[in-house]
Amino acid sequence: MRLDIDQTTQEHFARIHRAALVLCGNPWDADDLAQETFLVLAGQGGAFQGRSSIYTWLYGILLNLDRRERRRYGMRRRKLRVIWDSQPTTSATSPGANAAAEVAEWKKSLWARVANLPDGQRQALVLRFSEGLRYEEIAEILECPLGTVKSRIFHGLGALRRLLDEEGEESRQLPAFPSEDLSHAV
Amino acid sequence: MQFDPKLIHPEEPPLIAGGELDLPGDLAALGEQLSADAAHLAACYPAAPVQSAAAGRSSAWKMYAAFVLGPSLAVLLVAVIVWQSLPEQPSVDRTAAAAPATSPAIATPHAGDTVSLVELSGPELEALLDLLDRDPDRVTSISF
Repeated sequence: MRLDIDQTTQEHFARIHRAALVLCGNPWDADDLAQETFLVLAGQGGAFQGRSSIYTWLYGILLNLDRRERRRYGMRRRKLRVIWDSQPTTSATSPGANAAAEVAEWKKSLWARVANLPDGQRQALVLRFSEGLRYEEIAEILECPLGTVKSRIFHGLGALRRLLDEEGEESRQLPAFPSEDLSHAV
Repeated sequence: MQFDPKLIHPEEPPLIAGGELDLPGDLAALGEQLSADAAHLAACYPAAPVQSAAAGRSSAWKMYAAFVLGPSLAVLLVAVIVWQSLPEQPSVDRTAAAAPATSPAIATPHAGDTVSLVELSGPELEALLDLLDRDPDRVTSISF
């Protein structure tokens, strides 16, 4: 089956970029990951057999690249995580002109917490709630049984719930603006 | 004690009829929030316009022109300008170059007939020029 690379790119780039965005957590890495996905498509387009839909095949490439990048740059990401966590959301932490705003948007979203989950749960949540795929499609992309997909989604949401609860407890223990006792000033 | 490992399977997710996940209210709300956040992020950071392969080839040619041909033309242009602006070199007189260096103001009409123009007074210099005018066949040269 011969693929029209240009047409496929035009049709599916936006959705692959969106998935890359929630996987990476920042627009500059998402651009690279999405473009690399289509570079792989251009190189391996002849390998597409047509047994599945093209977008599930593209998601498979995207997730493989994401796993590879996480392995390769695991240490770098851990270091960046330290910087990330130590910076307030109003400071510039990226090379872009609107870096502070870009980082702040992502840090506010739930996907910043999803990034801390194990790969299997994280990818299942991305495909289900960002991309809106059916369980069967997710099982095909992740190459695992249907029950595993449902289990990963269920337990991923549970883990996310626990993360938010822990954050809530921490924020209650460390109020951002401790109330001042002004009675001595009267 | 006998080694008897037991695999602990994770809790099976609750399912409703049709195989759909039966999510508790808080988890279902989290799922909806994830969908909304993904849509919001996609709106904040839209994908850049995609170039087709043909456009990519065109832009590759433009890049080639910008990075290779451009500097080459600039270097060529600078070389031409420098070449044009160089002062015209006087032609080298090989016989003069081979001659022994002499004082700048020494006139040597013939070998052995050297007159220093510096030592001549004004009337003497005038007389010398008159003599040269009267005898145009005589070969005379002035060296500096």
